[in-house]
Amino acid sequence: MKRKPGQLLSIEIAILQGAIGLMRAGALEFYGYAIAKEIRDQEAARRLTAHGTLYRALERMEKLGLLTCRWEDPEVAAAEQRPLRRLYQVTAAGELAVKEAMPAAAATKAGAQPLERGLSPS
Amino acid sequence: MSGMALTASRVVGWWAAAYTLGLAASVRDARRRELASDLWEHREDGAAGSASSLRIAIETLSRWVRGIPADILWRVNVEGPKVDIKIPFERIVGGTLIALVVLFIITGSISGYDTARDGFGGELRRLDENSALANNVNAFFRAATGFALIAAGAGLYAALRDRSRGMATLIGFGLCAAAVLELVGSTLQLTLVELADEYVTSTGAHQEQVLVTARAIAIAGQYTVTASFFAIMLSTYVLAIVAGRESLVPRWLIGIPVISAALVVGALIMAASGAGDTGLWLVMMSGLLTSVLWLLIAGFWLLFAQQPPAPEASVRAPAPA
Repeated sequence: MKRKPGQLLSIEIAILQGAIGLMRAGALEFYGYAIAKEIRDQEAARRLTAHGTLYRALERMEKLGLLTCRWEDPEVAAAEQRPLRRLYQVTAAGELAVKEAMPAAAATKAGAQPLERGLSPS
Repeated sequence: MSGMALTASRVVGWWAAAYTLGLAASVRDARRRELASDLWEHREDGAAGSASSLRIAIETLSRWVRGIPADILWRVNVEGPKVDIKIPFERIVGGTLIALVVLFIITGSISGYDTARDGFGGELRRLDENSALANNVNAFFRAATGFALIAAGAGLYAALRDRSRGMATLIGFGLCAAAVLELVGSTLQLTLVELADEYVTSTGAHQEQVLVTARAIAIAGQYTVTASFFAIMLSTYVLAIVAGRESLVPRWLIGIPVISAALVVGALIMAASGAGDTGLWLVMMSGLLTSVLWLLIAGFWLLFAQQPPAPEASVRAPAPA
């Protein structure tokens, strides 16, 4: 999808909102499935975000500087007997971006034109 | 752990393995591991929430299917807009040689006509009795051979021009000339079919006139076939020289086209000295078959033999000071 520079897509807004929701609940970092579930809960949706859509968006947002990511300590994963998680954290730019995008997103839902904000790839 | 949910996870895993195939290990492994984690979390979360195995499987497959376009776009973005399909030029040349053999066979299998036979009118009647389909297929094959020769000429020129521009031009030109001759031959064939019909339906002086014209067209058609044959043969010999000189095939293979050329020249000398048809035909066919043999051996060699890495032509050792 072609978009204007600096404009957030709805999936990106949903991820940032979901991540901020998780932060408020005490989780400073999140992983793919957790954010998919959080988005579903926040939007009261029936379905989880598709794998391809979610991970493509996360990678793009990391490149835009809205998120940072790291692989968790393998010892933690081994202790819990599960695969390694890739952990994401919202950056200051990400928090600012979602704050600015919220009124625009609300306006879009109400049928108005989307607003734009400045975003620069890190 | 539920079987259906696990199977659904495996399907998604196979898909991830497919669309990340050929990527840099770091990119490929990161995507696969992240997805494996997601699938595991989904199964565990579903099981903890008492979701049925079927429901988890359906959710997993739904997430997979809805995300396929994004997966493909991701892959394209990772690779960049250019899809780089690198076929070693030896393989291109080898494939073209095999294609040339097929062309030889197709061209040789096209039924012709014998203008030397007494009663050329009988030949025209035979042609007229052929079904329209048979005559059209004949012309179509000759035209297709012409277009295929153009493709072979262009392909060989493109593959060899960096190694030997002059010889690549000769090969390309020779094959394109043969192609034009084949196309002309195809047109002449269709004209001859029309004349055959006219010959059968006409009488008297007009029929004689048609017969003379038809014979001239048939002779011209035979000349185009002969000229096309020699153009292909000469291109093959030049190709053999390039392949030997550039060490694309073993040097000893050059012996085969040399024998072929000697046989063809011998046949030409026999024809000039008025030798019998049978002997001439045998020598000419031997020359042709040895040439086809070379094309086959060289073609398969280039297609399947392990080629040494190409030398860096532009990198030269600095001259000693």
